[in-house]
Amino acid sequence: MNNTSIFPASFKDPAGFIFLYEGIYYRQVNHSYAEDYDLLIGSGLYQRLVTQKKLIAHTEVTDIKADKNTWYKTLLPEQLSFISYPYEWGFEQLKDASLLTLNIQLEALKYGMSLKDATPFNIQWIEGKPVFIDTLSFEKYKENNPWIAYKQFCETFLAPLLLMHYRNNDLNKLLVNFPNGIPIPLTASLLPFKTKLNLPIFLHIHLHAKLQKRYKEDNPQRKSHLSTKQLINIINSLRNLIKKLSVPENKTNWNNYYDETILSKEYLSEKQKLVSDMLSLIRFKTAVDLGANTGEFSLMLCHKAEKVIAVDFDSACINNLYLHAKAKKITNLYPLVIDLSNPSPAIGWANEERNSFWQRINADLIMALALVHHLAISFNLNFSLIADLLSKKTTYLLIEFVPKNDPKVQQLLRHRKDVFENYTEEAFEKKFSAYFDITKKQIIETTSRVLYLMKRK
Amino acid sequence: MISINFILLYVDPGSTSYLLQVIIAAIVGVAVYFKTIWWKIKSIFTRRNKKDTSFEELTDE
Repeated sequence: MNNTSIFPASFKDPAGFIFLYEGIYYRQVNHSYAEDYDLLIGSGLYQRLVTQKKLIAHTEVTDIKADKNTWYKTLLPEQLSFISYPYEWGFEQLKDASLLTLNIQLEALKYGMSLKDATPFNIQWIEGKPVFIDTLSFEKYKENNPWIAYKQFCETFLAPLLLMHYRNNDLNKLLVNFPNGIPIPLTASLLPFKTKLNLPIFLHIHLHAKLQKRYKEDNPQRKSHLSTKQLINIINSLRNLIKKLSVPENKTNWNNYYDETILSKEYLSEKQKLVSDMLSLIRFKTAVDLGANTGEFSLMLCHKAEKVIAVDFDSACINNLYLHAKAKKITNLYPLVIDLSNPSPAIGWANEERNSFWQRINADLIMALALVHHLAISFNLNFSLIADLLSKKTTYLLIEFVPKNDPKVQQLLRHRKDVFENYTEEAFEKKFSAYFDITKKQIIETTSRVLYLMKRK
Repeated sequence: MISINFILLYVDPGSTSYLLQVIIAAIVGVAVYFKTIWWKIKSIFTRRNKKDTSFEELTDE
């Protein structure tokens, strides 16, 4: 078929590939994977995992074939409405994704299968929950064989989780540089000494690193035998270790934002009312909340939109927001850790395997509350640059202007020279008007901040 | 780091981790064995009204 394009992230797997045809994503299963695919379906494992909402559902289609030479089946998987990557998740998201992977492996073993891949890039979020999306990752389990994906699991799940737990909340960002996994010797060298005294961490990381160094020139020749029971014990050891990990109790930048500052409850409730009024004027399906902070306003969007992407650079905030959404069973929120001054780049082979943050954003509404002063003053971005970017990504814009006399702006200017002569309400309106029509303007009375609803020209 | 990664390119990626899994299985196996004995001793002195879920997690799931 000529008008199909193979998805760049899936070219590595000989079992099959993802392709795009008339705007819909399909998955071709190659002949070489026929036996494993039939076992996945025939054993009942597929049905079991789909019923548990752990594996993405698909239907088989017969009339679309991307590559006839290798074709065995074409699958039409449930379409994903948004793709995110593990270096954009908070700690609890990565933890849930890792436990899902281990649970799937345990379930697969019961059905005589095993995962040949265990990477967080095979997990996406559907209705607020992690779901395994690579249908071709299952293979026939060969009795007495160790787990082929064990090393990959340690490098892509366990390593970042341990580094986040013991060192810093943001260390899953190492996966940008090491998308195939943070090398075990590097992980071992970054973890504190006390982790050597923790038996599971000693075994899965420190001993792992030692063995890798020892056998760096020769492969160990011994044939490895591992009973199913022993394999289950190893997976349970990983599971029990990960279950105990938690994010350090870091104070976030924003968590006490409304409590500690002069920005009072009155301000918050007034702003909520004004935002709600503005939102009632427009219709939107996809909304993006830039600088989501604790997520108060993202949650408002969740009532009105099909899909809400909430981003903030503060990983503790995003982590709390995810936990909140999980507890309240909010299914249409995607909380992501994104630093807008340096959002996720496009990575992988030819920079095409994983798209950049902005490549993945196409919204009906972008909300940017109390954000512009950070971009304009902390990062020296002028209004035109901001308006230009946002106008390419959204139809509607709900944006707050924070004037220079605002205490928060004064705080940003405290230790630097005020070179921002053009940081005025007039200049803001003028520059944004080149890209947007201002539909509504409203002053938040308890402060001199201004809210705007704009529509792209 | 570069040297380790460079060398690893020429080593079968699974083999060290296979050996490691055998070692871990042996150690974890011993731990599970003693925990099982401990639970059995404990169960003599305590009534087992509640299901011991932690035991199940280690073995059954």
